[in-house]
Amino acid sequence: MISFDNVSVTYTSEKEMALSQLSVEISEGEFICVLGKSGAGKSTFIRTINLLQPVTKGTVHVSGENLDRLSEKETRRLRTEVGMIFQHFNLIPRLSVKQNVLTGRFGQKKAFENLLGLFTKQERDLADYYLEEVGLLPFANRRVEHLSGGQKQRVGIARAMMQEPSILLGDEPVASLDPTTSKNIFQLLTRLHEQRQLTTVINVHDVELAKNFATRILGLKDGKLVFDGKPNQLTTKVYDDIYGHDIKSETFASQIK
Amino acid sequence: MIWFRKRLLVYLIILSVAIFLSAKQAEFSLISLFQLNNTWDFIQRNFWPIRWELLPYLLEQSLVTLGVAFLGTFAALVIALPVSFLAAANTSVSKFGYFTIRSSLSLVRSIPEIVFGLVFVVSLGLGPFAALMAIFLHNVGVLGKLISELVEAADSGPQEAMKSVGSSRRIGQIFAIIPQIWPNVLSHYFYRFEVAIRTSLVLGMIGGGGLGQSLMNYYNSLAYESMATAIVIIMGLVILVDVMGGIVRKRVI
Repeated sequence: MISFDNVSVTYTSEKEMALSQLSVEISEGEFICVLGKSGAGKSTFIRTINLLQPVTKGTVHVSGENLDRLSEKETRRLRTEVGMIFQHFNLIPRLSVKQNVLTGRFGQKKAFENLLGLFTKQERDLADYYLEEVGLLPFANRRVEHLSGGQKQRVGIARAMMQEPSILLGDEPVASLDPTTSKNIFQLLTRLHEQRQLTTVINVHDVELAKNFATRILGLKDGKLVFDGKPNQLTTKVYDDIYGHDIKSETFASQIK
Repeated sequence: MIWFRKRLLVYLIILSVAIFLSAKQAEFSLISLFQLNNTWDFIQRNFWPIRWELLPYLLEQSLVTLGVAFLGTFAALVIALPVSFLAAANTSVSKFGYFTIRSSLSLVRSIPEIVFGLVFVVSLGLGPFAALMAIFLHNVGVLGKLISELVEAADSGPQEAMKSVGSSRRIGQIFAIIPQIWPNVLSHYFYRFEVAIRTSLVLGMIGGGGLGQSLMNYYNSLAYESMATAIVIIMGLVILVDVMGGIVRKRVI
């Protein structure tokens, strides 16, 4: 489904590599959580999958396509197959919940249809369906600024699902939410993943969430893959590998138990 | 003295020199300042009683002023909004395009409306249309610059989200940026509208019609009471637009 072959990413502003010779295969239907300290390359990793970040060296394949060789039009088509949710939700202010969800369809429509808001009955029903899925149908006509953080992320998820993607990416989707809301969001993501065999790749800070919900965990440190395994293979040593000795291992040790 | 650094002393000296030189250029004199009394005398003696019978005529003229200011700035907004996207570093088509449009906007903005007005009165003829064109051109420059700065300062998050759903660059920018900056666009617009009312008065004095022209005619024929009536109407007009702008902005936010 997704394969990284010797991928490196260097930002022009920095000397160090954000990703360094990373190779990994992700199969269809996996639910992957990516762990790592801030600056470990988690965001860069996720963002190379939908080409928000181009790679410097190596190749990434998504659904059998080499991302290196895509024209702008093909890139846009690929992005319609990859949904993404963000830490700060990135919703469009002043639009309603439902209008925001419908923007998920933008990549699949003509410019004038988007400009004039010409959506088919089918698309509007689909928006309602996903709003129901994320529990926000009663809020469909409310402006997004008036929602809580958790609700905003649900709108973000509905917008991504509106693309009817085969892959769902999450760039720290719960980092600005409280623990209970974070758990609810992960439960929702698991449900969507199970219903549709959606390949899901999510960055997360909270090890406990990763352990409870992921089918596979990747650990990044300084742009390198230092762990790739099942949640039950996470040991204190693995934590040290991912987070380094500078962080108190006891805190994490207590989290794995 | 922890707040004060040596550099402040240098600034203080530069500022003092600038104030001194400016005062000299402006022929500022304390003695003349005491003659401000004369101004008050002049107003008291000549501006009273206000001639209310001129009201219907002056209200009609104020519609001309209002029309010139509104259409001039609104047409400028319609042009400036798309142009500002080409003049913003984050949404421009190319570096070359960005610099060309930015500098054209600066150029248009650097020419005062009264200069445009003087030219148009000659080329288009006396009357409000010359004033309209002068206000329009200058405001394309001003609004284009102000809105392009709003575009540059807009949060990039929604733009990234639009990119990730596969939307085209332009559509993504329109949806991710305009809703964010809309209240500020309106507030800039209403401020420019208010300024344009005052400008159209000045343009009236050089033959651009409306209240300004009446005001100038009264002044030249020493009809100060009539002039006072016009001033009262101008004040009312500016306050009206200010209040209207406030209401619209409140509704939008």
